[in-house]
Amino acid sequence: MLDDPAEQPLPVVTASRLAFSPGTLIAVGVWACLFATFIVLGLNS
Amino acid sequence: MLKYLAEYEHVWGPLRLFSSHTFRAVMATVTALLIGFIIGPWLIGRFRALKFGHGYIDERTGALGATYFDKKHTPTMGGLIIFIAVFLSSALWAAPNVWTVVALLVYTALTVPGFRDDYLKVVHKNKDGIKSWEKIAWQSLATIVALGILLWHPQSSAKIRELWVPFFKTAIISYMPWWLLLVLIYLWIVGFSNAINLTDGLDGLATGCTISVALVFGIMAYIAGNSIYSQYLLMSYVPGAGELTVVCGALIGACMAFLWFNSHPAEVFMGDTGSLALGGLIGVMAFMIHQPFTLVIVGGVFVMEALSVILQVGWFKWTKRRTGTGARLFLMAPIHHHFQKRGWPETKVVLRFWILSLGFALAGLATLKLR
Repeated sequence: MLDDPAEQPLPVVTASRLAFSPGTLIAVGVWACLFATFIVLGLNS
Repeated sequence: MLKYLAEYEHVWGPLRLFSSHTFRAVMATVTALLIGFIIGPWLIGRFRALKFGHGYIDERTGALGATYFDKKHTPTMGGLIIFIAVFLSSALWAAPNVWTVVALLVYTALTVPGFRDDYLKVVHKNKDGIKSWEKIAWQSLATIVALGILLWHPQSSAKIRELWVPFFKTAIISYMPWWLLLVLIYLWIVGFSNAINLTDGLDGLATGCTISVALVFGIMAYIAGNSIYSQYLLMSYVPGAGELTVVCGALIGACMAFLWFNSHPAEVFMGDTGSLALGGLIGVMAFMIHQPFTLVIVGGVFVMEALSVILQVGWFKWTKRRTGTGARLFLMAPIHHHFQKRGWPETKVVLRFWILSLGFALAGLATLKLR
């Protein structure tokens, strides 16, 4: 009887999940490119 | 990478400044500080909005739980502020070479398990975080990749095999076998990674002590990368290692910015995202400039914290086996909690440990001339 408030599942209080927004993904992509360039330049020096 | 601008010195004279390690180290410090100040409030706001606090009282703090009540909603994962500031500033001001690449690779490779650990704790409310084997796997991967690059690259392949210890004028082993090197680098990366992790228990403690260690290693990296100064001080000359001064500068700036927000009462904690990676970065840099044992002196507070846990656990198990009742050496471990239990306010413990850290840093610097 889910209509009965006593039998409703308790709300689970947890932190929000990480939302990988387009902005976050672009930032990670830019960082990966920067790091890859740094590694290539560094190992060829 | 701005160092490449120095190649255009013939076009505009002042561009030669970009070839100076000291200038770039100072600029890296300022840049990391500014990045930290800019992204800090924004990231802390995001963490708060996402409820990235532990949301529970750490059981390990035991009776100190009451003082931790206010901290359970303080967001963690602040290590990301340090990571972004160090990374961007280093990429901008340090010249890419094998030493800087390995330093940043290890830093990145250890930020990942730290981030995952915090993510599991704050999002999934899993108090244990990542599994021990996963943490060990990441630390092992970081060590193997770092060592592989160092042994493969012509600039580092011979240099990395030398073993130097304080108070000796020459290398005590000039060509270490790869397995000994692997064991030592692993011990340093994992050891200091876990030591900073243990130290990170009070507001500003780990960050403040990291600043003094980074300052000393910035100076040592500068000397190691300079043929004249290294010869004068009877230290190992490591061509190209001067670039690590710039990374240390970035680390100092990033930690200063983070400390601004992490000072008591903390607005954010670095979490495992910060502590695991900082230890690994410092550990691998000490090895690359041939000062691994000096790090044991300079990072005395970290060593002390780790030893207090080892001794406490060891003594407890030993006495329990012999008498049936486990005895404790300290009121609580890591040792900063021992002093809290003795009634010292948190800020007093932190300030006194910073003083100790400065003392250890000076002792480490003194070894430069005692050879």
